[in-house]
Formats: sequence, C-alpha cells, structure tokens
Amino acid sequence: MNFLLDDEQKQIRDSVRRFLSGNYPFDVRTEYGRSGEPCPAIVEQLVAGSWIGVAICDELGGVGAGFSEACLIAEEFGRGLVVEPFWALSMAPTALLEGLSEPSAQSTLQGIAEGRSFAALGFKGEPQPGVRAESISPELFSLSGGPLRVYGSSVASHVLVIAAMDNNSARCGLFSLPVEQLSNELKQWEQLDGSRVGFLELNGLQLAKDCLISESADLVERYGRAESVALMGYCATALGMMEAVLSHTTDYLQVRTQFGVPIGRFQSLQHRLADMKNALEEARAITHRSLCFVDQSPEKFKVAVAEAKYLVGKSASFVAAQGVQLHGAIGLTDEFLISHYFRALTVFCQSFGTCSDLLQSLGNTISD
Amino acid sequence: MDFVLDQSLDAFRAEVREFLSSALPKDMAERGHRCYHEDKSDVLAWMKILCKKGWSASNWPVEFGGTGWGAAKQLVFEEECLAAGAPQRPVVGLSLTGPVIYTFGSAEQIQRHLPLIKNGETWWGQCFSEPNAGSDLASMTSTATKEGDSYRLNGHKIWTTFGQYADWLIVLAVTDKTVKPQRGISFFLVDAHSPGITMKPIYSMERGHTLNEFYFEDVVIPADGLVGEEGKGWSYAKFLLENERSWSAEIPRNKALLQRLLQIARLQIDGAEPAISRPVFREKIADITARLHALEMLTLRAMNEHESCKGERLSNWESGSMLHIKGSEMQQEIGALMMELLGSSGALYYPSYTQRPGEEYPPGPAEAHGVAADFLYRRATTIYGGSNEIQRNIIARALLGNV
Repeated sequence: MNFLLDDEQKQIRDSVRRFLSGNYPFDVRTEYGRSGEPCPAIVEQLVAGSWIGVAICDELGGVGAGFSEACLIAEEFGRGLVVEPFWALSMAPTALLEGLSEPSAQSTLQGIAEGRSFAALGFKGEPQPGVRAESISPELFSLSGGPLRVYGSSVASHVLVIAAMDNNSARCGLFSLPVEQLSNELKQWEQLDGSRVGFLELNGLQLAKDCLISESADLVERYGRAESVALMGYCATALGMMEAVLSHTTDYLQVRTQFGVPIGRFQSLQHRLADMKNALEEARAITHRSLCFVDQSPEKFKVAVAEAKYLVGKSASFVAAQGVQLHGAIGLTDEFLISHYFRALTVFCQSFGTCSDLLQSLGNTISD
Repeated sequence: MDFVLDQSLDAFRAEVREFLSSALPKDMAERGHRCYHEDKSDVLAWMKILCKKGWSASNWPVEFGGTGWGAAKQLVFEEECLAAGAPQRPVVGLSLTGPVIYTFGSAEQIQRHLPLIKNGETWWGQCFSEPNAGSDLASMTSTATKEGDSYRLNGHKIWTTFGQYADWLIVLAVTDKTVKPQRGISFFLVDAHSPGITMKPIYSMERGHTLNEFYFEDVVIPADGLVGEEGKGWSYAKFLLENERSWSAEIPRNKALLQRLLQIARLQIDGAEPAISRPVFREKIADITARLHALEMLTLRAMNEHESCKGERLSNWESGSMLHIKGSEMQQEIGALMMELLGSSGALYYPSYTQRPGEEYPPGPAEAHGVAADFLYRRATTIYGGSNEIQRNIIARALLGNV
C-alpha cells in the first residue's frame, strides 16, 4: 500500500486542478447550475483531457490508469464544485462495462473513452424497483419499471439499465437506452446544489434489440460493484468539497478582523478549524480504505463503501456546517461560495442513504 | 498512490499469533486481557521470553539488537501481542531511551545501555514534566549545573509512569539559563539509585499506582550521563515525539478494546438479552468500527509518509496530533460504551490482582473485571503526551500560521 502520489498521479491531479481553476470560475458554475444546461467547456474537456477514460484500458482508447486516479479527478471536481458528476459519467460506466466480453459492451466503453457517447447509470433505490424487459417481436424489446435515478443525466447520451429478461429474474440483460428516445421517460429535476438528477420511469418503452449490450451471467454482481465504485467516487468528490471549505475558512480566519485582531487568533475558532481538518482527514482515510476493496468480493467492497459513505457523510455535514458558522452571516448568502459548498455537501449526505440508514445497515453486518 | 491490501503481512501475523499461543503464559494473558496495570514481574518474564525469540526490541534496527522490522510489521506485532493479552513491554526504555541513545548517544552509551534495555534488565522512567511545566514544557526549572567533569542535578519532576520500577531515568534539565529555553535544555541518563533522589507515588483515580514524582537534590550525574551535546535536549525530545508520531493513535490498544467491547456485548448480563441484539448498541459499535478503520488507514498513511520522507514533511497534516486526538478519544469512548453495557456491574469496585491478591471478587460477569479500572485510568489518554487542546493548537497553527 502506498499513500504517496507518483508523478503520473500528480500530473493528472494538477492538470485537472489547473483547468478548473482557470476555466471554471464560480460565476460560470453558478450560471450553468441555474440553467441546467451542461457546461460545454467541462463536457469537452472530459474527453479532450482524457479524464473520462482515465480508468478505461488503453486497448479501448482509455488511459489505462485505475480507480485511484479516477478518485483524484473526482476530488478535483468536488473542489471546483463542478455541476457535472465525474463519478457518475466516468467511474460508474467504466466499472460496469470493463471486463464484459461482448463486442457490444466493449464498443460502448470505447465510445465513452473516445467521446462519442456519454453514459449514465440508472440507480435503483431501496427497496429496489426492478426493470423488466420483454421480447415483443424479433426486432423489439419492451421495457418497464422504475423509477431509477440517473446522475449526470443532463450530459448523458445513453442510460445504462439492467433488466430482468422475459420475467425470468435469474436472467438479466444490460440495456443502453439512447436518451433521445426517452423524452417522456426521463425527467430532470434540480437538486439543492444546482445539479440535475434524472428520474427514469419506463412503461412499455419499445427499443431496438441492439440496445441489449450484454447478457453476462454476473451482471447483477457487476451492477452492484459499479454502484459501489460510483459511490466511492462520489465520496472522493465530497472530499474535494471539504478541502475547499477548509481552505476558504482558513483564509477567512486570517483576514477577517473583529475586536481589532484576525478572528483566527481566537482559540475556540482555532480548535473548530482543527476539528474540521481532523474530520476531513478521517473521511479521506476511510475513502482510501474503500479503494483497497475494489477488487475484493463485491460484498466486502459494498460494506467498505458503506462505511466510507457513512463516515464521509458524517464528516461532510460537520465540515460544511462549521464552514458556514465560522464565516458568520456572509456564510448564509447565496452570493458567497461557501453556501454553495454547503448545499452540494448536503446533497451528498442525502443521496445513496443517509448516515442513519447506513449506520443501521452497517450495524446489521455485525455478527451476534 | 496504490491501495492494494498488503497480504504479505498475513503470513507474519500468523507466525506471531502462533508464537504467542505457545509462548505467552496463560495466567499472564488473563491478567493482560483484564487491562489492569502490568506487574513488573510479568513484564520482565515476558521480556525474557521475547528476548529468546529475538523480538524484544521490535522497533530497533538490527545493528543494535532489534528486529529491523518496518513500521507496518511492528504494528502487526503489537496488535497481536495486545490481542493475546501480553503485558506491555517497558515503553520508556524501548521506545524513548533506546532510539535517543542509538541516534544521538556515544558509543559507550550504546554499549552500556542498549543490551540491558533489550534484555529487559534495566527499567527506565521518564522525567520530563514538572509541577509547573506540563503543556508548557519549555518553562521547566530543574537545573543541571556543570561542576568539573560532572553535573549537579536539582529539581522536581512529576508524572513518571512506572517510576517505582525504574533503575534508570531519562531527565531533561536546564544547563544554560542565559539562552532561550529550547536551547538551554539538556538530555541526561540518570541512575535512579543515585544519592539525592527521592520518589513519591501518586495514586490515580482507579486507585492504581503507575504515576510518581521525583525530587532531585544535588544529585551528581557523571559526564557520561549527558546524551549528545549540551543544550540539544529539547531537539532530542522533539525527535522522540516525531519518531513516535505514527503510533499516537494506539491502534493495537483500540483494536483490543473493541474486541473486548464485542465480547461484553455478546454476554447475557443478569439474564438480559445481549446488548449486541439491540439496534442502539449495534449502531454505536458500527460507528466506532468505521472510525477505527479510518484511524488504521490514517496510521498506515503516517507510517508510509514517515518512512518515505526521510525527515522531510510530505503533507500538510499534523499526523501525530491528529492521530493522538482520535486515538485517545476512541479509547475513552470504547471504555464508556463498555461501562454502559455493564450497567450497575460497572459501578462495582473490582480490586486488581496486585492490589488485593487472593481477595474475593464481587458478583457479576467475570468479563467486568478491570473494565471500570481501565475506564477510569484512560481519562489520562487525552492528557498525556500533550493534551488534546495542545494538539488542536498544533493542527490549527499548521493551517493558520501565525495569525
């Protein structure tokens, strides 16, 4: 195990950070958050910077690095408060499609690496409403089920969905649904932080048979792993947001003067800042730990990611709240960026299980 | 950055575990599991066994009689030792005195002291703090005045853990009052039986005796008692803290405590259903488990950075302070949770083996023995080694600079 970044990793992190700090200022971010349109500069750079394919193997046009590197990019997206979710658009489809042997699955992944398409996953909620696919003619499937949540839906050209085939719950198929055919099925909703989440509900949607890209026997397992990878990437994104909150708060404590001194001279504020830093590094550590389990059994990986989401969430709500608190009233305003981080971290905490949900399920993994 | 689980340590862990299962005497292990303070005779007997195996100085380089293990291997060793209930080895000799001598000491000091420490033949006590120099250690007033070839030591030191067993003491004292305190303090090795030394026990709230104070009245330290250079004592002490910073979270201790907590949670106490079947406790345990996992990764990260950096600072976190805060708070939290599980059994006073040998124990589960004593004792964890308030100051200063 090695915690230090090698030169390639530093280069990946620095190039993303440089691009975002130069090309994605706060007002641009806010504008796209309001409009709901994807930011063209970001979408373009996802491909041009080879970010989207960072964990896709080089034979399929990717960079051939791994999920550690992907997490570095996700973290920078968090720091820059990018509306478009890297974890959903890059990490999730990569984890789902890598290793699938069907040419259709491979070409889908290659299409992502080369920027010909953007894929997002349909995430099942708990309890899981499944999707069913029925063969209705030699050329067509009919799909029903949902709602599924689609992160990155404003960028995605395709939504990847797993469905039980012909009412046979043991046999699953992976479908790539073209977004252009989902005008009635996919609705976008704005979240607190200006990002969009799609709700996909299928009621007998008819699809050409070439939308079925895999019938691999382990699809359910793969889908679960892809969800875990995505969630791990979202945790890394939250780390970046927390980094930014801590950094802005540190700056503020140095420059804001009250009672004739910088407020950072007050020990109660210093200790709060220290606790924020402690929470952040604890969150980073548990995210690192989840990376150790990427190639372990899906069950172990799932628990490791649940622990990560729990602890990152717990740290995130503390860091976000203290970031606002230490800024005082300016922290409450829509105009100042700290409230935007607060909102984005709140969205993180609310998604994929709250701390209470996760703690309960983690508690249930302890043997009697 | 590469997060592949290091399975090469699994075989080593199995080797240590097997050794412990045959080499660690059962009665000693039982005392260890109950977390009462170590008996000197237990510790010395255990050191002898480890010494025979070549594992007594697990943290030292091979050239000084140590194992040469890297930090991750040492961590596995400590985890297994504590999990098995082995007594803690004399920490001042092995972790403080040894490294300071082989890093800054003379060839004679190395030859004279290291074998005895490694073999468990000398016990060392630490005399750094003073009644008026705790968190503000630099304000110490004990003096060592040069007289010919030797020094004359006068002063009052306090909080010396296991000082009652000490054959030798490491002492910080002022040798030059005219310069900044950090430049005028020197590091001494002092024979605890020297004329002019008086020791007084301090009993702590668990009614145990680990702490002591030392009075030095015109104690003569021969010239060879000075470590390294005069006036460098502060930097040597800082080196020690740096050296130990990756260990501040006390992962082996926290893991052993968590195991004990789980054991108690699975008991039926007074006929009630085991706590583990109650969601409120499952969730508390799940929360602690997640945080302990994070703390373990933070510890491995600190070790990895410490071993790769060769004295340079590689990252912007104060690893020692952060690990200390989290590890100390966790020990207290697990202890408090064990007390919660025990309910009124936790209110009973269980005398330790050494305090009242042979005495009858109060009713209640055998697993309750020592829990309350340990809970009381571990209030020390957030105070020793620099209080957590000082640690937060350090973390904030690293972020804010001098505001």
